[in-house]
Amino acid sequence: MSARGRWFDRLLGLYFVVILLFLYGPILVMAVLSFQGPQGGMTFPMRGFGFHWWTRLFQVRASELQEAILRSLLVAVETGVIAAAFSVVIAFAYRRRLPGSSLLLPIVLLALMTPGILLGLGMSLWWRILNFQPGHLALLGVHVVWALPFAFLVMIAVLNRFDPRVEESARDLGASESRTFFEIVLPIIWPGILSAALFGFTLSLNEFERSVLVTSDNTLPLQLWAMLTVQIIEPDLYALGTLTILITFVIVAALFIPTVIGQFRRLGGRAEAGEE
Amino acid sequence: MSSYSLPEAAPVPAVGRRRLTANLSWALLLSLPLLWLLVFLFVPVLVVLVVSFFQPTLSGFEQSFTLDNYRLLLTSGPFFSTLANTVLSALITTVVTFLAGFWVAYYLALVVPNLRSRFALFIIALAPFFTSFLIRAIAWIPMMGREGVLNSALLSLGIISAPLDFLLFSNFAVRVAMAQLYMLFMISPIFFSLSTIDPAVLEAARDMGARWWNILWEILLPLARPGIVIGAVFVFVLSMGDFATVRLIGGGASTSVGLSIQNFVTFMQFPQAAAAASILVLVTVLGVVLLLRWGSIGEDL
Repeated sequence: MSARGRWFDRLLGLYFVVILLFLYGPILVMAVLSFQGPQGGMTFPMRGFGFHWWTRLFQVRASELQEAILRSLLVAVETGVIAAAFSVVIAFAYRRRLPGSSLLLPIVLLALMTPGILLGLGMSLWWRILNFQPGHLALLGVHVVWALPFAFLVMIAVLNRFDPRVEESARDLGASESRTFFEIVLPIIWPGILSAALFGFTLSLNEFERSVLVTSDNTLPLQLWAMLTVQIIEPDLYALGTLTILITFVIVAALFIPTVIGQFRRLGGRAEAGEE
Repeated sequence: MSSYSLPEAAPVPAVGRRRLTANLSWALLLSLPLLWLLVFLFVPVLVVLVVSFFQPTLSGFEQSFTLDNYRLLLTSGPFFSTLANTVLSALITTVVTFLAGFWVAYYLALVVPNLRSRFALFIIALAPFFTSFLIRAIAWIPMMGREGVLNSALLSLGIISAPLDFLLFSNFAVRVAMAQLYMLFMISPIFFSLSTIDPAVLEAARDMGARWWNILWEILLPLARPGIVIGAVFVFVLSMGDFATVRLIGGGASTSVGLSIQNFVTFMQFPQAAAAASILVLVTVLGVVLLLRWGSIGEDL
């Protein structure tokens, strides 16, 4: 490559760092501000440094947030499990080219693209017409709709890596369809299913736009919204924000690091060798 | 080549029948997620359309047909300027995320040398997307406020002499924050389509004397077009429906249709909310169709 190309590549590398700063900057500033001293406000300057707002978060806010956190965790676990199970079914139907399965992708993408506020409004009106109490089922419903496209894309990626010869040989050796699925296919794609579930869990845990019109029982983001729009906000909110972002990063790391490493053990060598 | 699948062997007849019953059970299983999507996606969207034609009452709606909701919205100046502002914000966000995001995708897909660091960096860029949308919106407040990081930095550098007020609680602030919140939806699809480009093609172009802008204009942009269109559709749709960013970062100074929908619901004016949502969907779909058409025109050339 020419010297000019290398110069351009370096510039792009610098630009990438700038964009990372743009993406992470606000989060980092928020994390720093959560260590404000007791007199400190929502912005710089720092008035002292300490764990005042963090202790306040755990001592004063915790009781206020406890219910919302538990509700959020419950919905997130259910969303993860259901979205993962559904994504397996849809991905297999898609892969086996069942009649009409070409419609599955547009349907799933529609679920992804429907604006949250529209879905939330529709759900609350629909429940109102049915005379149902808004609540857990409606909330779970829209969360699964939100998580499903991502889980589906994960499963498609997993199944693309899955070697169909394994399945074929199991069948050729006389295993029934269900036995092939449960004893051969399922154990192999299990890590993929787990990541689909974790995806769903994380998306549900942080979901706000679909939830806001659907339920009157607050989840954690809804509680946050109430605190933001009604109360005077204080730096303990930054502590809470930093905490939830840390938790999400741990989940994302747990999700990706093993998949990435595993993938490279199996295929990376080949792909990288082919690239040189 | 990135395909690892082998050509399928011709099925043995007995296996063929077994495959049929297996397909049947998959189809039965498939009815569960489809039913879920029917109840929690398609019917709600339809209900919005239907309710938008219902007569509003004090505490909700009664099921009699009227066009008043639309008439009231479409003859009201404020709603139009809200709609115009929403579309403008969405367009600006889409263009900005494309101009800024394309080079990130380019860097990741074509400059970073090996696959491992490529994906590692991609995931680092992707990670903020999974965190709470609300929290990321809040995090902009200390950046942009009167005493925020940006103003302090500009003041101490002597670029400005008094804090800039438009940095927070303004349309400008909303668009900057939206660009940050939605950028990843632009980067990811472009990254994936650029990743499929065989580096040998670029090598050949360079060897034959193409300059970098020739390569960009005649090879990279056409090949990345599907990714660009998908990214643009994502960002446009998401910013059209946004209301949390507008509320938190815009304060009272910015509006969006999503926010008016939420306000209608707060005052139990469901049919008006539904009518506003239907107009929002109509305009959004129109925008998406235009984007897709622009995308496919490029393919024909």
